[in-house]
Amino acid sequence: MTLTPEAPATAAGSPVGRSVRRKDGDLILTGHGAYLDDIEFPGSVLHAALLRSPHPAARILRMDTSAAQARPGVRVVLTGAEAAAATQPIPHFYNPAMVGGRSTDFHPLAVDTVHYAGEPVAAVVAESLHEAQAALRDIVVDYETLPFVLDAEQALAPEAPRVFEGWEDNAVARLPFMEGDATAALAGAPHTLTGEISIQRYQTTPMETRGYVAAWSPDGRLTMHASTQNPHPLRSHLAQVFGIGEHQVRVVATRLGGGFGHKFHSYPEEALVALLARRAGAPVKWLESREESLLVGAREYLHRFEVGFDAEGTILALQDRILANVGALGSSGGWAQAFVAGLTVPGPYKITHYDVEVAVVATHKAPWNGARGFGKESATLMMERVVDLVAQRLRMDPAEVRRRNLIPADAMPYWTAMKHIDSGEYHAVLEEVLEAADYEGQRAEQTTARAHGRLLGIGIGFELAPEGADLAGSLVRGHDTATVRIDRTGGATVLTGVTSPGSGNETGIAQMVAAELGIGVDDVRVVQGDTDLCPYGYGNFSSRSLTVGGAAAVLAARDVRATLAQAGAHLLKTRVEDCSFADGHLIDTASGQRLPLPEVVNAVMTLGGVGLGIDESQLESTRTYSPENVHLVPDEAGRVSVYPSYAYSAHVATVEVDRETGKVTVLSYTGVHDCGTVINPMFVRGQFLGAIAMGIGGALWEESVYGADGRLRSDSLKRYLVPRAPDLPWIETRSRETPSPFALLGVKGGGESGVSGAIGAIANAVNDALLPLGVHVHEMPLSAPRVLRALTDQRIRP
Amino acid sequence: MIRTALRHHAPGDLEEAAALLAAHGERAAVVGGGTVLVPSLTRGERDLDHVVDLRRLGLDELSGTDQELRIGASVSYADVLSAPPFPGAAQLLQVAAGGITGGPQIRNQGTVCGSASYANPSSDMPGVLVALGAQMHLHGPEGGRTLPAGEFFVDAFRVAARRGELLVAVSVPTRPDRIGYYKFKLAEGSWPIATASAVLPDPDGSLTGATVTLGAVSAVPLRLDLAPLLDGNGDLAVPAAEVDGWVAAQVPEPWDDELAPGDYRRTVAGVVLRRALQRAEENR
Amino acid sequence: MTEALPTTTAPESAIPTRELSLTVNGRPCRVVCQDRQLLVEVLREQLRLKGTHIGCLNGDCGACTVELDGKAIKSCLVLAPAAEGSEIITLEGVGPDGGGLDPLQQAFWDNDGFQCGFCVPGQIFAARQLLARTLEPSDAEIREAVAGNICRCTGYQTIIESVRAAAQAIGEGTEGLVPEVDTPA
Repeated sequence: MTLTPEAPATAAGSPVGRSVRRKDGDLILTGHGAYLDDIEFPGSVLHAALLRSPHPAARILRMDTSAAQARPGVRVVLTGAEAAAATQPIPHFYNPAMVGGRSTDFHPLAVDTVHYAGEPVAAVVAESLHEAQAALRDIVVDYETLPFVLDAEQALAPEAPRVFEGWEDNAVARLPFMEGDATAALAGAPHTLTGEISIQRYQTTPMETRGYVAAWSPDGRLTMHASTQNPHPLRSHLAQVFGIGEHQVRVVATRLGGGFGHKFHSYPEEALVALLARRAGAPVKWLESREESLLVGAREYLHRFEVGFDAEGTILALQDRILANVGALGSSGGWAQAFVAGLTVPGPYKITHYDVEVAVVATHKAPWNGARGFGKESATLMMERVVDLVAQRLRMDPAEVRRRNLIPADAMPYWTAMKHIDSGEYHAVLEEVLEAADYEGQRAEQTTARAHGRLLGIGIGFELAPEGADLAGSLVRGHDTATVRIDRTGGATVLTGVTSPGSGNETGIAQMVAAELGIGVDDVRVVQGDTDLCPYGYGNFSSRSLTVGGAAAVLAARDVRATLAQAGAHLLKTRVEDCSFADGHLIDTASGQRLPLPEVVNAVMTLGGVGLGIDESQLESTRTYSPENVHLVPDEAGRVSVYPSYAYSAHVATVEVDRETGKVTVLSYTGVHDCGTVINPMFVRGQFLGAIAMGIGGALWEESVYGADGRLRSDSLKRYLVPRAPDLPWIETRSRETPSPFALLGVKGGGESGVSGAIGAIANAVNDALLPLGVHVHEMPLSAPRVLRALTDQRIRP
Repeated sequence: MIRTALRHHAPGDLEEAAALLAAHGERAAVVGGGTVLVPSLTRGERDLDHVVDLRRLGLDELSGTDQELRIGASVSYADVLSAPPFPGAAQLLQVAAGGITGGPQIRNQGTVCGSASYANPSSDMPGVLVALGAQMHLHGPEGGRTLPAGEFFVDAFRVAARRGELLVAVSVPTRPDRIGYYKFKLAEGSWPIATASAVLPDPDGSLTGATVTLGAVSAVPLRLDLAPLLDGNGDLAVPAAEVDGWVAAQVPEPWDDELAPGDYRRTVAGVVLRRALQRAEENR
Repeated sequence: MTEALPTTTAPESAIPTRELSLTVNGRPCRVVCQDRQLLVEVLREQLRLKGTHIGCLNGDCGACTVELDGKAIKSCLVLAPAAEGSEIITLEGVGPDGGGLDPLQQAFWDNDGFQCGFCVPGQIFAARQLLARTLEPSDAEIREAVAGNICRCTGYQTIIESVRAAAQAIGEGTEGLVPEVDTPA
């Protein structure tokens, strides 16, 4: 990547589109990042520790907290019954009832029944964390253990133990996504094939775990500092849980050490910590341990598919039955990933007859929360394997089958049942990745390698990443709001409702505002995460921070600029349309006269309304940007679309399988992506690289494994294997910009792109490597033991 | 976050250390590099009142005679790696130390003797020490004694140290054997799934007298004499598949954990054995 | 069924404590700590040096890395009393005395070597140890050098680019780095 040195921010040298370094980099590099646990709070902060159930299903018969209460330093011991009596149920991040599913109430602690091993059953607050943790051991709980079920398929059996009392079965929801007549099209297709593929329970492992610090002030106001991705919705939820006015709650989202969906709000610990602080009459801090963090799951699906196609490789119809094991549901919205898994099918392909049903199933595993990819990775894995299986059956090149089925650029925007795809040049990006990876050359090398008995595989992955979700009827909305102010020194402050998980969107927003006002990026301060300061917004999810947060800030900055232009035109005796902004100056492009911005601001403040041609001295604006291309009212064909923007990417991975051990080594990797207009190429590349690495990790090593006792076995980073530097190949990236016609500045979401394509590409590459042996592996992750089993087990021949 | 009222001792001599360990028995443990003991305390998996720190005992010797090399209990993997090349078979230790999981920090902190004392089946050192026929030097209330590595490793996470005894050093022979080490792990962050340490004593280059010690495939290292697989010239007389079958038969109770099931370890045991032999051949 | 967990009964006042002498970021200091405290806890709590992070308390992630007597170590694996008399450098003490960034830190900023920044201590100290040994590291050597650290944001590639750039800058003896990227006006 070639990066050009910074030029002054002139019209020709706008900071938009440049690789500006991230704000606060110097603070972070010198240890002053101020993550949640680094912040010093006034007064003494008490510490909370949680007792978690060792059993996946149990009735709590008796709990004796007296010994714990009596311990030195202990200030509060709280049981589930006490917590439930003091709070309203925790609102769902996204209630399954909204899509016709089953729901139930969740409380800060298990009340009388335990639904998963690791569910919190009691809490202790003490003067030190040592004391709090030690006191947990003195809480006596008598459990009556109950039968439990961990597998989704078994959970649907009539005799299966119910996860939630009163439910007819363990199905949370059955969600259909269909278009055309798949049954008829399958019946009429010249060729069909069926298959099954599963993807494992996974989790994102941000390096900073979650944490909350709650304090109630004497006036009854709750302040919560939280390592969360959604401060405003969390504020709404806390107000509801405690039955107080929302203005009586302040949430401050601190600098995040990674989010990836793990820090979406609606966890039971949020309300719990606030309740503990109220009981203790003092600030209380709780930090998630790594062990606790690893409980959070995502992404456990089984696909059973049937595909119909013709002799030319055109896919005519697709049926997919998806089983999603969402664990014990919980108030966090992780289960909604199963909805997105169904919605994303058939991805970037033009398949007019399809029929998908997602069975969302509750089991006695810990609940899900978001994981980068958010269900799209599962759909992509299935689709990409389907395309390769069609190619294999027809003895065609998998690239060619993609060419024949990708949605053509001239068909954009393109409607499917649940998506109105804004734009994209899929064929061009496919060709670009093939060229960048030297696909033809690699195929030739593969032929040679195979002749020498090597198991070399090449896999293509093509990913569609619907982004910017707008789920009306919930607090998961697509719009967002920003305030932009300009001050007398010519600097700007942006208050925004979007937050950063550590991706750098604050720098991106600063670039966008700086470009509008003709000032330097360092002259723009971006304030995020504090609900007392920032306008209501939905925080960080669905790769939306620049598409909506940035766009709202641009609109607000343009309002401010308009006022300045009007004043400037008056001062310079020129026309408003001749006023431009660059270098911290207002410039009359007709005469070349320049006024330093502070002078213009000062004039507006001191003379506005009395002779500058402006009626008011307002130098700030608050604007809300709602994404276009969201269709929440069904059209005449019954179609709706909750995602406004559709980033996409194409990947080529080359792997070698060790025939004797089953170990997969990724030899090379190339990815080309398109997230519309790029604000900061360095950051976009960084997001893409990180997402690909996460995808490779999820495809090959990372797995949340449960024991037969219903407890999580992958409870440390020695047992949950995330990629380390030596595990990964050099990743070659390119990018293409197809601006979205529906977004201000043409920006599409760029934060998730790469995870799904990497999983698809790796799965295809490994299976391509195994092709000469006539076996396949359709069980993720493609860990060495699994691949070796496929190599030695003839029963799973396709 | 350690919950117990832990007391840290840094005794100045071995007698004091042994006395402390003897006095507190199960409530005390030795802390060397800390890479295993400290997090087990933090996680609440072990519950101790006393730790005995080796740092003031002067156990950082790394010295050799023409027969053997002695490695003190405080010698880290990094110390092993930065030392001049070990002579003969002892070189195996250096090769294995270079591949310790956990990156350079762990190599700076972890010690050979600490790993031996922990006796985790899924680790490098037990297999390497058994392969070399290392001598394990213990010190306890009754003074010092020495055990061969093969007797030191009793079971998974259990060694033949008596109450009050600590491992003060290991010594490994510097015979001019050829060695080969092969470690198989799933990913960089994974502890070994199977290791093989080949020791080939025949100066003429055959496999006569060769042993391969398998690590991580069973509760304790398995030292295999290759004689049943050799022909009269000391060459491997059977095809790979047969080697693998023979090796698998030597692993009746494979080690099983969340990273790899026992049957997998048994299956790849032969593979790592052959690859270690191949490396030894390359070391010719 | 009742979970049988070992219990401890000692009140906080009965926890063994001691005074430690350390030299931290060049400054000698004395600090009172409990015997059971980890070095990372003493650095963060008593010395208020929050740049050393806690990511796993299990020696896996590297976020708590500091330099102890010249070696990069994971401070969650060290009982504080074991650090008696040692010289420690934390992330706060890496840069030049007058403040600012050293060439390695500068290279991480310029080359986007981190995103959320939580893993930075491990990456910086691992890279320092590598660059002390060689200023011409191969990519494979850089990958090995940072293998003790987990980064979930970058996929490590920009970390490799940062270390490469730092090696070059230090090798060329430039005081700072010539930034390859835009420096905002």
